[in-house]
Amino acid sequence: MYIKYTGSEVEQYNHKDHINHKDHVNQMGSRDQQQSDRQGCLKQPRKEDEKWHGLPRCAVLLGNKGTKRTDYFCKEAEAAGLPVMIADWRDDIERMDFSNVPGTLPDIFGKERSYIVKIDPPLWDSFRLGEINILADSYKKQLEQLSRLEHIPESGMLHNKIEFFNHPRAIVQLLDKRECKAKLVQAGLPVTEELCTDACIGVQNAGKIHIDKSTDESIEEQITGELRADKHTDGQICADIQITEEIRAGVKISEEFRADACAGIQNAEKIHIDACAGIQNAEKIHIDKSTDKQIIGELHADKYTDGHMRCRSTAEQYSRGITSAECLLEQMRRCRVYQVFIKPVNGSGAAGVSAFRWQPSTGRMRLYTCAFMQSGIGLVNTKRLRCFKEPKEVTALLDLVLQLDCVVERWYAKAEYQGYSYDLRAVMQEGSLDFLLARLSKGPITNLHLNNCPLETDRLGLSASVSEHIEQLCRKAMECFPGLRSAGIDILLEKGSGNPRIIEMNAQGDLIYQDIFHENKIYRHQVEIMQR
Amino acid sequence: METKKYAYSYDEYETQNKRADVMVQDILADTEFPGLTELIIGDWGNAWEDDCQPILDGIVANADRFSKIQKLFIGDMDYEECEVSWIMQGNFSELWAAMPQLRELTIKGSMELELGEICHEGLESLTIICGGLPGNVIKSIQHAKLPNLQKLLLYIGVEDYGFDGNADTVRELLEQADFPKLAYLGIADSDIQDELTGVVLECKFMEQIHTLDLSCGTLTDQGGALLLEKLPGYPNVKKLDVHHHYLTEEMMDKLSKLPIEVDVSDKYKPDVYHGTVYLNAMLTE
Repeated sequence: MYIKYTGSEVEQYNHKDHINHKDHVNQMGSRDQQQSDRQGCLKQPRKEDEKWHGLPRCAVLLGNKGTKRTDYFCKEAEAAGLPVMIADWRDDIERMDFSNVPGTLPDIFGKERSYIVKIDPPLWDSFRLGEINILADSYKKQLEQLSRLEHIPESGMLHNKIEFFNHPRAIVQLLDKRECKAKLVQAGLPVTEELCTDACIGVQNAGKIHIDKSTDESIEEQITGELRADKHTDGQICADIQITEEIRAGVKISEEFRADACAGIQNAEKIHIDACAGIQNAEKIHIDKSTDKQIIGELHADKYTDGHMRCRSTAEQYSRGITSAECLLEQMRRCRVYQVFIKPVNGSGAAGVSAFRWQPSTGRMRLYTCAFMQSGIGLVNTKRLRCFKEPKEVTALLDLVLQLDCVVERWYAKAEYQGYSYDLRAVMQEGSLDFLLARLSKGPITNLHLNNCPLETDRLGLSASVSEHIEQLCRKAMECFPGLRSAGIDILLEKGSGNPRIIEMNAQGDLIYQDIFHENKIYRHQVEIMQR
Repeated sequence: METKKYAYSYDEYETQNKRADVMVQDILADTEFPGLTELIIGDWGNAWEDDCQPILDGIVANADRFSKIQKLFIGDMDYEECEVSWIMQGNFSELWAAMPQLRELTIKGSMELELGEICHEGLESLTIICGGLPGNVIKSIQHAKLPNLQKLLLYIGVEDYGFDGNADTVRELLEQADFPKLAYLGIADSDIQDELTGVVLECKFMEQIHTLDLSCGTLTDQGGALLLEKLPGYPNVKKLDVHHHYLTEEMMDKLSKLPIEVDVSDKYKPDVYHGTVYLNAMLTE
């Protein structure tokens, strides 16, 4: 593994010319040590790690030279006297040999000291959306390999300590929108929910539906039983549904249950949402077998007082559940949700993100997206939001976008300010809400690079309770991801109620222009954290 | 003026069965309602499938209880809630007689919109915001008896979303309409904004209005030149609103130098795709 030292010496760091400082590599340790000692960087050595007590602290920034992320971080590090070594993804990544970290590590971490590694995202040149997953997978692998660095000192091969500012595994967890959202849902936090009951329609050829709990007060004991769809023939499959285990609450319940279930399952090939409506009061529907491997998970059916019961799915694995426009429309119809956001599981910066709305009675469609089909190239990401209206064009584009492996979420109407709708980007760092920015938009996608307007949240006139609610939500969200010190959290406030919901989290969402060009407090706080 | 907006969220619609047919009931049950003089109706739940007729009927049926409402807005929802052209409006025929105290009426959305025979002594302002103004609505306005109307703002929109006429339709409207007190004329949000600018500048109302609103459309230097030429002939016009436009900087500068208040904000650049130039009005969906 080779990582160049660039601009690594605090005294010599130069914002305009910090690329060619390789010559300082050998001098780095001693001069840094002097610097650190002089600045008293290790004011608060960690109690749990006494053996590293007294070692000088040094930051390693794996990122991109000449970018605002690097420059503004280094500016604060310089001011605080924290030595920074910069490794560049572009220059170094191909030569990084993660497979033999112990052998090559001394090249970088050569001196006894305490290192804290901050990982900024690599810059991706590609605008082809078809490459998103390949790039993301490769990045995740690199992060996984980087995570091994922290174990090296324990092997006794080196006399230094390495920790991560944000642990690579936490970064990986947040990179996957589906995984990230699942964690938040598990913690009971309000999020922009994935299209409900997706499992119901997505469970094709499920071999077994297991009812393991019923909250119906009229049922004295829990229902435990199985619905088995043995055959998948056309027409109704009442005869094919068997309750193979005795239902403890008695025959009567069993009959009702059977009847409802049968009535609901209209089609042998697919188990429809109606099946859920038929399963009275089942708290949990467990799908433990799915022959097409589309869904293995659980459906939580909390409320179903009317015929339109909607399940909230917490299925952990139902990747690629909606892979076509046809499937999406069917799902939307069954869920009675006619406006959704479609987001590639991997990717950032609104890449491939699409807002879709459909009016089933007339067939009208609207698709707002930055994705664009460029002849000869394929699906590309652009910096312009377009609106497509022609159903043929819309469904063709949806088919392509959905092939990327997407999460499909309800499109919530967001709060508005002076005719603009907005969402919020919060930057949380070690329990502190360091920045809260509103992103105002005339279109459904609020990312600032789409000519949307940033606004200081003070001007929104949010009530103290809403602000407190947002901060608490952010704090709880951070707790879901051990090893995560800093994250950008996107939140919407529902129009009308103002209830906050987490849209997504980004472990590298710390670059806020409105901060770096003013106080630069986000990076200042990072440096303070690193110096502890 | 005491104002309140009533709207249902998606969740209220889905889980509490909140729909247009219970909105008037909810409004009347609200203890703040008797003190209101301005009423804003937002999303009535699934507004792209269910029209607002039950609300209009509810107001008519309870006319005495709505007798303090002077300003009414039906359909105040943004694109996050519903596409403008998808909002299912209703028939306003009965409303004119039921709300004689009404001064201002704003309607958003034109699907299923019918104004019927308009006859109202007191109405001072009528605004219709939509992606396409249907011919039947234009006819209703054309024959309206609104002796006190001071402001008329119509979003013309495009053919795809309900505007089934052309420049002659608007010319006929302005020729035949009789609004002796009209002071604010807005013919906005059109993809033939230049052509309509010419039509408006020739209409009889130019002699009496103080505000000319040609905003939110595809106004280019062609329309801008017409304004430069004709407006000085109407010293009664004190304000020109052309925000959301495709004027050049030079034309914007010239218009700004007219000795009146001019809004030339929101400049847009034409889209060029495969050699074709596209200009879009603000609401054309």
